Amino acid sequence: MSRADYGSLFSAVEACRGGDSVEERVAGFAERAGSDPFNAYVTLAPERAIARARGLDRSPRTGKLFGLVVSVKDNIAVRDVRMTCGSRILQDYVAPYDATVVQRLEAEGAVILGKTNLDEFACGSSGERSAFGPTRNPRDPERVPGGSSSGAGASVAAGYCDIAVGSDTGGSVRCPASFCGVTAFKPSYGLVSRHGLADMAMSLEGPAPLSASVEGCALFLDAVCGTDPRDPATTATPGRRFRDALSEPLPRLRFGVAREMFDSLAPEVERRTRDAAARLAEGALSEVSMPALEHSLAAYYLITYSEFASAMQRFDGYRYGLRAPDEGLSETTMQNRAALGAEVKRRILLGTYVTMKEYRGKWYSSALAARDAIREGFERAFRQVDLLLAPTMPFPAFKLAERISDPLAMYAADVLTVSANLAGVPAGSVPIPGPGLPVGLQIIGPRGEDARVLRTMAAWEEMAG
Amino acid sequence: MTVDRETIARVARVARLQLSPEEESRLQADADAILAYFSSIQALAGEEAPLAASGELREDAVEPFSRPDEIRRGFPRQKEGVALVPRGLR
Repeated sequence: MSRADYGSLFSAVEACRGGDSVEERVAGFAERAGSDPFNAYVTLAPERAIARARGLDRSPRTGKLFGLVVSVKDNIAVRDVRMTCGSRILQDYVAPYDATVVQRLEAEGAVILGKTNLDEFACGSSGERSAFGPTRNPRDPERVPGGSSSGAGASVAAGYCDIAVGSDTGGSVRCPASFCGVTAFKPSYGLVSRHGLADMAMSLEGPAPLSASVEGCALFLDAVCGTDPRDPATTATPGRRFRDALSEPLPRLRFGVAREMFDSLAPEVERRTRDAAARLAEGALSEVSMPALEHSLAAYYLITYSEFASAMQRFDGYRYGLRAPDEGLSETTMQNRAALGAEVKRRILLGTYVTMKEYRGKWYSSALAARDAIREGFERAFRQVDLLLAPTMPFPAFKLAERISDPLAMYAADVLTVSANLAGVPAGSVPIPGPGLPVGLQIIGPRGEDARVLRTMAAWEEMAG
Repeated sequence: MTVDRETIARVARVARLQLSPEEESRLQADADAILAYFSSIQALAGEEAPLAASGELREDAVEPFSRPDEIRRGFPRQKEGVALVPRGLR
């Protein structure tokens, strides 16, 4: 994203509010997305989008996102549009209601163009585990786009939308942003309602935006954040607009790097991240130690397995979804689940195992203790520094099929992103310009300091040019 | 070995997962490798703190839904507007 492009989304909103045709704008995006060689979209809904655009053209032309084109990850409900969660068991399911984020985006004049591909039920880090085929990385189609919001990342990188709505449980928007060379932001836990998101691990996740620049992430938050009676974890809206925060003067901040986040990195990732951190911090950079991060992958996966195994019990095929022939309750449920993919089965199995009475103390309770230790580690670090800087991913995008058969090699991709979810803190990823494959810089802040993280992401965009 | 084949078969039954012999064998190997890799976390084992409710809960009351037909449309099997579930007793 060049400096010249900064502010381009807001300009588009202004132009549409001023009388430019939303229908023509949406038709342009629909035509581009119609070709989609990257498998970014599972379901395109151009007729719905055009009808909506025509309605906006006849409206009083107001709204923070008026005329912007949005893609929605296919684990978030859009009324009357198919919602597959990337799974065969929901291949024909049509959502009868809108998620809160969808309601709020449309209320601000956004147009939803379609539903984007994802790892089945968001279980994956590469975008290869969808029942509808893998998504490819627009920056190099032989490589993965990252996951689980794979289609969301590709839809932004390929120019098929202005803003993509993904979800982030352990890095699922930051990973594709890093691999595809775009921007993403995981808000503080509770800032954005989860109502209408098919949960993978409800204590860790929420809807989260990706866009070509931080401005898209800020506009998304301005439209959707705030309390929702349908999600008791939601917190009150901050008193000011996030987009306005982007142009406020940048206060003098103390930056930190955690030495545990610089272990075992690909050499170019380490070099580019250290260079970027030094430039951004302008001398105010110190090293902190967060030893509990050693346990972040184990804590994250054990908690995710447990919550996921519980969440998946609703997909019994009785009220919606794929239904096997009736052979009794247990048999039918088992046969319905036979259509699930390998990673989903692995997580259900392990989640059941680690929460069984005889194993719970050894595994699940330990994971909860590790989560507490990681949260305390962040609290201690944020007494010393205002923001932490780290790579988003330990390596650039890898080739399709390179890690798919080795679950531990795949999980290792998440090592730098999961801790922000365990601690509930905000974290963004912005591209570090350079030759070769994209690399993302991760900026992590204390819980509730989302505007500070976004402001600093904008400062990096300006600096990186 | 952390998890043997017999344990995997037992957990799969509890989880209502029907696994082929190949799946069972692969999942046993995967589970064993994954849990071995995660085993250092057991050093932190302790008493689980009771879960505390957080946030404000809405009233637990029935709300009208104006489009029940849209939900009925998704029923895989139905009779006279009622979802049919598999037989529980024989």
